[in-house]
Amino acid sequence: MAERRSPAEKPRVVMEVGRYFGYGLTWALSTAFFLFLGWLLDRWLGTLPLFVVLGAVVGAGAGFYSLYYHLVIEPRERRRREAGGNNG
Amino acid sequence: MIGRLWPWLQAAEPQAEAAAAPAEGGGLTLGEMIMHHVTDSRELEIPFGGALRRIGLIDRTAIELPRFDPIQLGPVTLDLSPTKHVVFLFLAAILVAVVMIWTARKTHGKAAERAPKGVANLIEAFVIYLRDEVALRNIGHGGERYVPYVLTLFFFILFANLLGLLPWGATATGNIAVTATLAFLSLVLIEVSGFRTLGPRGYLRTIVFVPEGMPWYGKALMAAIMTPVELLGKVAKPFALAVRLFANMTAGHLVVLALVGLIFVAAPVASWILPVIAPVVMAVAIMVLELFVALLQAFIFAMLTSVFIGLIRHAH
Repeated sequence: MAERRSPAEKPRVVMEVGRYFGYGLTWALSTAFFLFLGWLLDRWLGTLPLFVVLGAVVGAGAGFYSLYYHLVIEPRERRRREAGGNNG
Repeated sequence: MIGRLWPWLQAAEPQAEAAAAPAEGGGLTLGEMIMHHVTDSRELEIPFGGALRRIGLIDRTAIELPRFDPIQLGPVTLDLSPTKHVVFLFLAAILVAVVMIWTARKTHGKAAERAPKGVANLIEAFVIYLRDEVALRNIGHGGERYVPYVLTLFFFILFANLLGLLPWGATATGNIAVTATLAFLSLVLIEVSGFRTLGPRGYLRTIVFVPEGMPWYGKALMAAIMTPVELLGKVAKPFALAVRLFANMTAGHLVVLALVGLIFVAAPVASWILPVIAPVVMAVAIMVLELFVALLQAFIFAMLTSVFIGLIRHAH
């Protein structure tokens, strides 16, 4: 049977959703931003759609790395630092 | 909410041609009338204006708001004339100030010896919950200085949302300029709190992304690509706040107005009973939901602002 969340945990869920929504939106915005930069570059150099495609790929990759960094790498490093601080 | 459609309701005839173009004087369709009530305008509707005009007490059903000459600031032209949403913004601000000062008087000094009653007790419960469970819990140590902002934000948004649910009212938070300004204020507060807590060097590390364990050219490439992404990340969170509040408040009103409008669309082709009862029952249900949404959206805005302040203060 699924565990019911206590009232104190519910705001925590809203908080987490807000955080993840922000990171997700950053991913989408970074893809759109680099795609737009690529489009500007293509328009300037007359190479459409080379930099549009490249921009979309770079933007999506960078956005995903940012997401991965903030959700996986950063908490891991923080835990390691805290564990080191407690041991030391 | 019926009051919002009152002028249209008074002009509407239970005939097919009236449903197609049923306006008081301008031949507006239902869609145009809904948009007229949801979007900003330069006039305020007078309660029962149509009825008052019919009995000859007033000439117009709305008050025209004053217009000021635009101010030229370099290439930017600023029109500071008040609109319907500006009036309701000020009304919300005045209400917040009055209610909060009144509650403070009821809960401090001699009055503090006894537990407050009624509305003061309700407001105190909100304030204590927001302070302990929202602001202090999410911001952490030193969060006390941000509590006034979080509380003001919550109550201001709540009052602005609730004013929009009153007949002849307007939802200032259903205007993207209002929600974007609130989000911008939160963004400034988040970044300033981050700068003050982390110091210039620590704050710069939240913008310029330099991964460790890479050769210098790898670091330079990653910094060039990831810095705009980090900057976008800073803007994305308040942007989401602004869009969420605006979309929720606008969508609820659109649904209620559309449901009430069904009465006039269906009336010419069906008996009066069915097209009136079904939309009214649905509109009342949505209004009850809107009351909850008004509270929830104010809570989410205040909570996420606290979360983002806490996140940047504990970054790196």
